[in-house]
Amino acid sequence: MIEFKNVYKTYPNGFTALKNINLQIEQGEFVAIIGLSGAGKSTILRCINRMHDITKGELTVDGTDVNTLRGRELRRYRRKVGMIFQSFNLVSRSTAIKNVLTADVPDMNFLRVLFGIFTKEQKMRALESLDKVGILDKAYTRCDQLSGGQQQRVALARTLNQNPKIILADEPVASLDPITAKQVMEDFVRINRDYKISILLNIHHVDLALKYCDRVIGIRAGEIVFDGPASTITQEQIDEVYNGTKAPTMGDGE
Amino acid sequence: MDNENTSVLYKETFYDKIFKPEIVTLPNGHTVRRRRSRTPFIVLALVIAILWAVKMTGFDPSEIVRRFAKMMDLMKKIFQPDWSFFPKVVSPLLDTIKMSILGTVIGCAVALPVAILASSNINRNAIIVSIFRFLLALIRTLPTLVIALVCALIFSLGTFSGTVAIAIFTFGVVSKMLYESIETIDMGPFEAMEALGANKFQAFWSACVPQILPVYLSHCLYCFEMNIRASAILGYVGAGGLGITINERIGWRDYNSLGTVLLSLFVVVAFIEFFSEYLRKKLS
Repeated sequence: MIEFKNVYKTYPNGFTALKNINLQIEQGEFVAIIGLSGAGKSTILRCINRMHDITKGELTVDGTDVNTLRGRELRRYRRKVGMIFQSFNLVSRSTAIKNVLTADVPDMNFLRVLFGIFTKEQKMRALESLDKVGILDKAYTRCDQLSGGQQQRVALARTLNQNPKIILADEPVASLDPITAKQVMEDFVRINRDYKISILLNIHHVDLALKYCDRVIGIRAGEIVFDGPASTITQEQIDEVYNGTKAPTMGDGE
Repeated sequence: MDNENTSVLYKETFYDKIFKPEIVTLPNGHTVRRRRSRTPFIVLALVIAILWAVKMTGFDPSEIVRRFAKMMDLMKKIFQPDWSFFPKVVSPLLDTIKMSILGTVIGCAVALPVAILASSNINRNAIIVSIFRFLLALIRTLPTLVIALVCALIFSLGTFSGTVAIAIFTFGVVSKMLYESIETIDMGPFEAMEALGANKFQAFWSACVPQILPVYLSHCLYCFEMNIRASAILGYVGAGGLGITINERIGWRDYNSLGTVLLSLFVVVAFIEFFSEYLRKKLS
């Protein structure tokens, strides 16, 4: 369970990104965080895996106080939290399987990392991860030869390969075309259902959020203005999240 | 539209005060300022610089025409190489190649860690970064010939001095090219590695090195090409290799043998450049 208690986050430049965030997310939930750019969506995700520190309040994940973790403890904690990025963040010159294998690197000794020696079991597991997202056939293809959707799936396979309990996805479909975006969203749904992994994702497209996610959290200027099941959110509430401007959608035909 | 509004968009320089910006007005009354071009000014400065340089160096085109016959005479001899001299070329030519290979390998090996330390995206300590960059800039200001001369004075004449000189030169050039390339790599994968629990070394090694390595090898090969050419000249200051032979033949006015030396060098350089270019294309 992820729990925010009165969490504040102020950046070194004085900008307060999060104001008094209170939130509880149970294991296995599929949550979409919506809001304008700069509202604090990314900051919430990055506080959960401590890529950012919180300034005030308490943030616990399965009883662990995230903000007190240091060094080795923090890295061990991060093994259980996967992260997906808008720009995939793959080594584009390497093959898909090599990228997936990097998920094992933190558990390996110095010499194995230095020479990039992976065991047969590790390689089989990496291939299984690629199979779980349906791109086993691209395992030995260089990532710069893959389409955006395929690259995001490789990134997803890398995350699955670390066997996480939580996946944080920062704008995972923002740089994909509408069709591919839907396919990737369906991958998330399947992973959430089959492996009981909690998924939190930031998303600009409200229609995708409502269609695929169970719960929606709306953020405006660092504050939660909506939190509830995706099925209950009304147009007025969406408008409130977006300051009264029209909410962005994928806008294509079904 | 009043001009007060548009004038704050950029800082008005002295130039703008003399040559007032043109104001373009659209049919609907909106205006935009277009600053006067600086090009005529720059062209004028260049012309003055060139005229001054011609005057200073005493460059005289008629001299080239007058001495043309002599040049052709010399060229004719060079292009009629004396192949009986070839056996005497082989050994210094091999020396030159050996010097270049060893010097390049040593220089490149040292350049990799230094370039990493001099990259501002990897090394967050601005002081260390600037110290390394200053040292590299210092090394690069020294021409290879000067380094070779100093080495020859320190280590005695011969190929060893040449090798050291090439290593130092290679180190300076490859480090500079490499840290500039390292600064353009994608740091996204590094962030991803940190997010999945890797420490800084593991993240760097798995996410950055695969991006750096091909660029590094490409720079090394390119530097090797340059070194083959440069090392032929190092013999001039007593640092071994083909330069000694070239110097000697010119001294004896033996232009037919000089032709043999230059043609052999040309073939070797052309071959290595062709091969290196092929490899570098494969790397990119």
